[in-house]
Amino acid sequence: MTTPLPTSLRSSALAVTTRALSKQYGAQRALHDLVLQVPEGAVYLLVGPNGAGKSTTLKILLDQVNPTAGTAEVLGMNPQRQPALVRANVGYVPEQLDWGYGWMRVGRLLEHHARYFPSWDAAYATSLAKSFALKLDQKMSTLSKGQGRRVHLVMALAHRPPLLVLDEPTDGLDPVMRDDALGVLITHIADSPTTVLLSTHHVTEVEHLADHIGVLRDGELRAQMPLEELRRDLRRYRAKIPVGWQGTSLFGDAVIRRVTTRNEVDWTVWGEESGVAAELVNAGAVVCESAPLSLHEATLALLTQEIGK
Amino acid sequence: MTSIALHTTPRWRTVASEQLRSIRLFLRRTGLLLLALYSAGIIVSIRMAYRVIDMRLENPQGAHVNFTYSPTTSMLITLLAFLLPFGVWQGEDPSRRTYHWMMPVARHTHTLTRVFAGWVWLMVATFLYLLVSIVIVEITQRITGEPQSYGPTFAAWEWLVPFTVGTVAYMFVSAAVVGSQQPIAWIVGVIALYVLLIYLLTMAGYPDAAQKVASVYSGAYGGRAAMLGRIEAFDSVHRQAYSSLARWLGSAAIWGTMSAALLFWVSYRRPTSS
Repeated sequence: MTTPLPTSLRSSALAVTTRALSKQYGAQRALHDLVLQVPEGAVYLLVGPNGAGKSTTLKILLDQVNPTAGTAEVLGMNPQRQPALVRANVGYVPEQLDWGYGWMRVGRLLEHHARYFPSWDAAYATSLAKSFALKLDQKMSTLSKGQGRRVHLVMALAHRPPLLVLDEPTDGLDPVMRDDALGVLITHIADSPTTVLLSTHHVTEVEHLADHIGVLRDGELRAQMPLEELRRDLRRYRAKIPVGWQGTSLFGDAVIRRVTTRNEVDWTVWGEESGVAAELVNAGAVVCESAPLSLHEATLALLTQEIGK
Repeated sequence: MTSIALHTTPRWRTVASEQLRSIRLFLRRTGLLLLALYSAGIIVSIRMAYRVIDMRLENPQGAHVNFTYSPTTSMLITLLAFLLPFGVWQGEDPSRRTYHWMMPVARHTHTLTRVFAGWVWLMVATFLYLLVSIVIVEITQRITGEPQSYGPTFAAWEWLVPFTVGTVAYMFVSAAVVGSQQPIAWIVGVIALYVLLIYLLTMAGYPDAAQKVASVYSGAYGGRAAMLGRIEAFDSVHRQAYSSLARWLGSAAIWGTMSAALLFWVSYRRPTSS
C-alpha cells in the first residue's frame, strides 16, 4: 500500500533535532516548520536545490544565523544558548570559504585553529594534511578553492568532533582529490564515533557513505528516512495499460513521477512494492518492471515531484 | 539526551594568548617599521646634539637644543590607534567573518578578545614611544650638558595621556570596524556631520547652540581635553594651554566610557542578515 513520504524518524537517540524551525529573511521564507532528525552515529544526507534552505539550516545549528521561530538541539544543547560548546563539538566545513587570514601560512593557520580546540589531535592533523597534499608553508591567500576546501576538511576532522557538519565538502575538488577526500572521510567515520550531517549536490559520490536522507525543498522538509527504506519503497514501475485506462490518478501524491503514454505507464511510486504492484494489476495494468532507484535518481525524483498533483 | 562525551571549549587565557600571537605575527612588519622610526628619532637627536656642540665652538651663546615631550606629540600614537583596528580586522569585515565566528568561543567574547589583543600591542607601542622620548631627552642632556625642560606647565601625569588617547581612539575606530561594512564612511561621516552642524547653526544665527555643539570637542570635558589633557586659556597677550588633571580624568572617563559602550554594543549585535 502507499503512504505519505515519511518526514520523521523513529530513532530515539538523536544527535541533531529541530522543532518547527523557521527562518525568514525579510519577505523571503528560507525555512518553514522544519523538523530535522539526525540519529546519533548516522551519516545524514541533506539534499535540496539551491536556495532550498540547506545552508541556512546548518548555520542555525551552529548559531551563525538566528531562527525566526522554532528551536534546534545539537548533541543535546541549544545552539542559541550554548553556542561555544556546540561549536567545540562540531567540525564544520562551510559552503563559502571566507578566510580573512590570507596573510597566514597553512601550517600557522592549523596551529591557530588547534589552540581553540583542546581535543586537537596534532598527529592526526599532520597525517590529514599529508593525505590532502597540503603545503604547510603556502600562504592562505594563494590557495585555490579546492586547496582551501582541503584545509577546512583538516580543521573539521582533526579535533575528532562528535558531529561533522559538512556543507558541500567536495565542492571545488578535482575528481582524484574528491575520491581521496571521501576515502579520508570513510576512514574517519570508521575510526572516530561521529555523526555526519552532509549537504551536497554530488549525491552519487556519497551513496555508499550515507545511511539517512532528508529532502528539503522551498524551505520545507519533503521527506526524511533511512536510505534503506528509500531504496526499498521508492521504486520505478513500468506497466502496460489498455487503451482508455482509468487508473491515471491512482496512488495520488505517492506517485513521485508520473509519465503516462497511450499504452504504458512509467511511474516512480512511494509505497510497499507488493501493494503497489497489486493495485496496478487490480486497475488493469500489466506490470512489466519494478526496479529500485539509485540515490541520484531517487533524489532527482523527490526534488522534481510536483506537489499536490 | 545524548550519550556522547562532549569536548570542552578553550580557556579564555588560551584564546587571548593566541590572539596576541596572531596579531603580533600580522603586525611584525609594522612593528619593525615603528622600531626603525624610533631608532631614527634617537639617531637624529644625537646628531643634532653634537651639531649644537660644534656650533657652540663658533658661537657659545647662540646654540641650544631642547628635545622635550608634550602630550601633543602623542598624535603619532593617536594616528596608530586609528589605523590599528583596520589591520587587526583586515579581510574580515562583518560579511566575511564566518571563520572568526565559527570558533568555539561566544561571538562577543571572541570579538572583544581580538580587540583587546590589538590594544595590548598598541599600549606596547605607546610605552616604547614614551621610552624613546625619555631616552632622547636624557641623551641630549648628557651630550650638551644643557638641562632639558618639559615646560612650565608640564605635570608628571601627562606621561599617561598617550595611553588614554590611544585607548579611546582605538576603541572608537574598533567599534566602527567591528560593526560596519564601511567603517571609513562612518568615521568620516560622523566628523563631517559634526562640522556641518556647527557651520549650519552658526549660519542660521544660533551661535550659542553652535558653541554648545562645538564644546563636544573643545569643551572642558570634550574630546580635545581627553586627547591632550590640556585646556586652553587666554592671558592678556597669549593663548596658552594648561594641564588639568581633573579635566583630563573627567574627559578621559567620559570618552572612554562612550567608546567602550559603543564597542560592547557592536560586539553583541548580530549582523542583520542573521
